[in-house]
Amino acid sequence: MSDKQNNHEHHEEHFDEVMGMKQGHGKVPRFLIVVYAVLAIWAVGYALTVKGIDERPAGGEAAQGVSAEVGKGLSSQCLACHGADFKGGMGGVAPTLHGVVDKLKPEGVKEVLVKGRGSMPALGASWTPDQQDSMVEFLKTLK
Amino acid sequence: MLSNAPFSTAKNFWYTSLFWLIVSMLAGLVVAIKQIDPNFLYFQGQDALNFALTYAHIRIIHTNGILLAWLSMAMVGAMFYMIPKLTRTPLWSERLGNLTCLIWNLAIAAAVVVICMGYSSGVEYAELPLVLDLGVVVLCVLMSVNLFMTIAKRQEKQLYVSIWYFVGSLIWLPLVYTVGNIPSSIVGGAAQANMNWFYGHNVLGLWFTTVGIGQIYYLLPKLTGKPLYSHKLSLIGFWTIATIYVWNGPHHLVNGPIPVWLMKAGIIPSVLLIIPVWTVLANVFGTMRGVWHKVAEDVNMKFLVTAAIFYLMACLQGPFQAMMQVSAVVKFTHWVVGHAHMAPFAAFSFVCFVTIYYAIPRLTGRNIYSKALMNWHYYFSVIGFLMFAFTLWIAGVIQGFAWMEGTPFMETINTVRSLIVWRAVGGTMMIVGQFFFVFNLWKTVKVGTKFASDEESVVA
Repeated sequence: MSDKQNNHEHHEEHFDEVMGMKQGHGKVPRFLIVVYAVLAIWAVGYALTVKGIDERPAGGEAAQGVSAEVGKGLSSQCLACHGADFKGGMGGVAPTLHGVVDKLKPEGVKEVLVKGRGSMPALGASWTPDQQDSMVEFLKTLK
Repeated sequence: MLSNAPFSTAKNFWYTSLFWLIVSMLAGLVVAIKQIDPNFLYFQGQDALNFALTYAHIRIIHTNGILLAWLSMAMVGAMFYMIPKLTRTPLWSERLGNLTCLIWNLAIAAAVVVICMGYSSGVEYAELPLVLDLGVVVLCVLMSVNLFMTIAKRQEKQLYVSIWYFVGSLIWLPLVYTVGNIPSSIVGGAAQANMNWFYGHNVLGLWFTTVGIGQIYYLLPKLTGKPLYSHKLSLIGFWTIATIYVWNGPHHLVNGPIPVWLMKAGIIPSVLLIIPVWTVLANVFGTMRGVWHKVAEDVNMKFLVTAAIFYLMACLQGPFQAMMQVSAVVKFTHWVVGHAHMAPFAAFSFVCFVTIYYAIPRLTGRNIYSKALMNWHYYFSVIGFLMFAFTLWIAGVIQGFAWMEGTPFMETINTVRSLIVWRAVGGTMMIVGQFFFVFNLWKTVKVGTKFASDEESVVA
């Protein structure tokens, strides 16, 4: 038995038979031993040093200021009833939101958001004024 | 029905598993199409039917059908074949084995019915109601008694490595399954999620992987005619998978509502999994030295080597995904679905295909009906899977970064729509491949050319 990495020749010659299956005595390849060692060192380092990640903005409010973009981020709640393209849904119960700002004026839209109307829940009841204005800005873009 | 013929249990498990393979994969295709068009299989005015065929029910049938029916039954069949072959001892009780197979099929059929009726524990991969969970544990006990008694009655004291893997798996499965299926009314909260993933990942790691590797270690020397490369590597691989894999569950909850030490306790072993995986693969490739030309000639070798390569890929992707930063992007996206199919389908289903292709001719005394169909099965499975997986991985990365930017959910759905269509095309190819597989085996058993087989009797 040589200690050479290249030990492919001699282990082929003798093998055991266990339960009728041939079983050789190949060595553990050197690169695997290196892999074992590297992983062991990494594991200890990781366990001691890594901290959890938390990328939430301080204060927990992601949306700031008034913009159609912020309103768009809030609009995923509207989709379920008013349809994926906001053109109405639920068999006509939820009307189209295209042109809704022209129809109800911004004040009217905000009233519906805050108080709800008919089968629409008051989804905007907990929103800041900035968020309500942002939703109006976003709804203006639906044309 | 309850035959006492040698190896009838293995055959019955395999034949019925093929039926569930087709059923479960068709359920998978239905959910893939429902992701493109939610109105698929929706019948106006047929409320009861629509309730039964809703996306959530069909998905549960797909996952549980593949895991508990097709893959588990194919692997149990493999153990009922390989353990008597290795120990050169007849199975302790073929009758009990066939009874186990019968109850197993009835349990799965019952599961399909209750899932469609809307009963579910609501815990992913552990959806079956408690009554059926208990049934699964009883089945584990029945098959374990049968196989352990067979091993106990063996003539030769020393155990071949495949048997360690089989025995380990038979001990781990009931343990893992029980922890995962304790009702949430008793535990609940983040602890429940942790227990759920202890089961969800270990059913793969300490059941499918370990029975699968046991099969590889049996098939490889048989197919190549060469001795298994290294006994030492077998030892290292076995004990490291037993000690490391069991910790993998929490990597499913990274960045979630669990303590950081628990996340690390999931992430570090996920990366350390490279140790058992590369060790097993070193053993596989060491054994393959000098016989690589056989891969070109023998479809079974093609399947086996491909399975080994996909196993390697799955276990490079897994550690990568477990990292906090990567997980933050890919979690909840299509990426995870692509990854989750690699080990159960492209690695361990492939291994089961080889076992069945290898054993059925030896048990029936008939050659495989068509080598061309085997090749079709191989290429459809591999190309279909690659198409399926890569479209999902691309879609997942797109989704992950889009969500981080706050893009509305519906918009991301529309963005990846075409990729999801191609996923369904790849999935369809995967299923077409299995039809070749089942048809080929059916023709083999019915009209395959006869060859002299000494495998019907246990060779003393």
